[in-house]
Amino acid sequence: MSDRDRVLIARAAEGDHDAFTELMARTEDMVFAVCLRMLGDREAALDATQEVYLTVFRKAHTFRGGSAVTTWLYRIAVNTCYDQLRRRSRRQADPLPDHVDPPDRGAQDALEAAELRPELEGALRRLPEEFLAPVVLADIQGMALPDVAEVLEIPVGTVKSRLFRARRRLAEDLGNRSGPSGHPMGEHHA
Amino acid sequence: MHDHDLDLIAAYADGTLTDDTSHAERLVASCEVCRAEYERQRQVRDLLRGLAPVRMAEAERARLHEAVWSRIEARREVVPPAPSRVPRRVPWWLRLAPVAAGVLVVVVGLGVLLQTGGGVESAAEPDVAADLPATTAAAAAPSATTLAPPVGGQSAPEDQAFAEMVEEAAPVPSPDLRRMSPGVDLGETTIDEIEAVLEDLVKADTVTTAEPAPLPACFDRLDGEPLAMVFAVLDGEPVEAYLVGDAATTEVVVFVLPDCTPLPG
Repeated sequence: MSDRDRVLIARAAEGDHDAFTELMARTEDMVFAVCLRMLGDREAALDATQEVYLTVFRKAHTFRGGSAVTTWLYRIAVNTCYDQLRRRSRRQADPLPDHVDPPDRGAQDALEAAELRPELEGALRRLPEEFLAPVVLADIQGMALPDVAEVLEIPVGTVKSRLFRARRRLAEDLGNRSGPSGHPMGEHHA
Repeated sequence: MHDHDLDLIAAYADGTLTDDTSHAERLVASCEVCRAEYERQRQVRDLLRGLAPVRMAEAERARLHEAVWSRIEARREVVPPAPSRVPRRVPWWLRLAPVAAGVLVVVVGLGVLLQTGGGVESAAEPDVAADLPATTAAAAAPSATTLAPPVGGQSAPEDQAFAEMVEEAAPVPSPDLRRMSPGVDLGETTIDEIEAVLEDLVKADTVTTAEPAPLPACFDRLDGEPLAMVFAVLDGEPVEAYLVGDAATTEVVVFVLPDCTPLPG
């Protein structure tokens, strides 16, 4: 798959629209999934996905091939979503959604209706910003930790640390306090 | 329990502990706190991993494709048929530079005012800046950023072409720039609007936009789109800089080559 992606991105950089269309078709669900998990509602995720592919179209010629195309796409998607989240937070009139959007009415596939549980969605929204992408990429998308580190351009140890703390916060937020209260563990840094 | 135990337990819970797991197993079996943490990590991870995959609905997919292609096509349609007065080898953003100079001064000046003026207090002043000739507006901005003819740093043909364009360029301002006039929150001005203004100016001046040329490598690290080249003065020295609009945040920032360092405002 990655070889094909490289061919497609190279052709897209030369203005081949068919190649760009194929690349988008191969990756758009993946990008949309990341955006939806990052942003929490489908409209925002669709907007972000649109921005991601416009960025890909504009910057295809800058892809250096040092990493997989999907890594590059994930990085653009995460950065686009973080930008949207920061813009949201700057605009008091546009608060973070505290609800889960209903599934698209036109969805025929059962998978399309697969939304986060409301309580889990809310807990994700309340995570510190730097914890969100590691959780989305590693725990929801199932990416290997070294790949997450490459996407986020941070050390693997930092990914582990953020995941660890993110899960702890999620557990606490979800009321899943299986551990004893007053736990002696403080902030943990890898 | 120590940090290294936490690392061990986290890796054990992740299933990424490839070495001997016996120590981790002993910890979980013998230490209540360790076991609780292990369970907590596993439960949350399993909860997240158990989520069903996300797919776009077909209607969403169609909307996405339509939106992406319409925006791509919109960018292509602004290329006028008129021949360029500058050599084709000059990158498109370089061609934009002198035409956009007035825009840049206003935008950069606005950005600086927004950054340094604290918003409310300075809100009334920028209208004045917008009405001033570009050079005056630039001078009014309390910044090291001023537009100036290029000095060095380019190959001779491009340098000459750029110098000619700078001479020809009138210090705008287009009526459309009112939309970006100070007093309007820059955050509300989309990059599309800024680009539309630039494109109108390009049309009016018959300067063509062409396929983007390869940009400096450091642009890879920027999230934004380089809108135009500017020549700025930093610490008394002329520097080659680029105005970069971030399509997502609508922030406009000037970056200085060769490392794309943000220009201090």
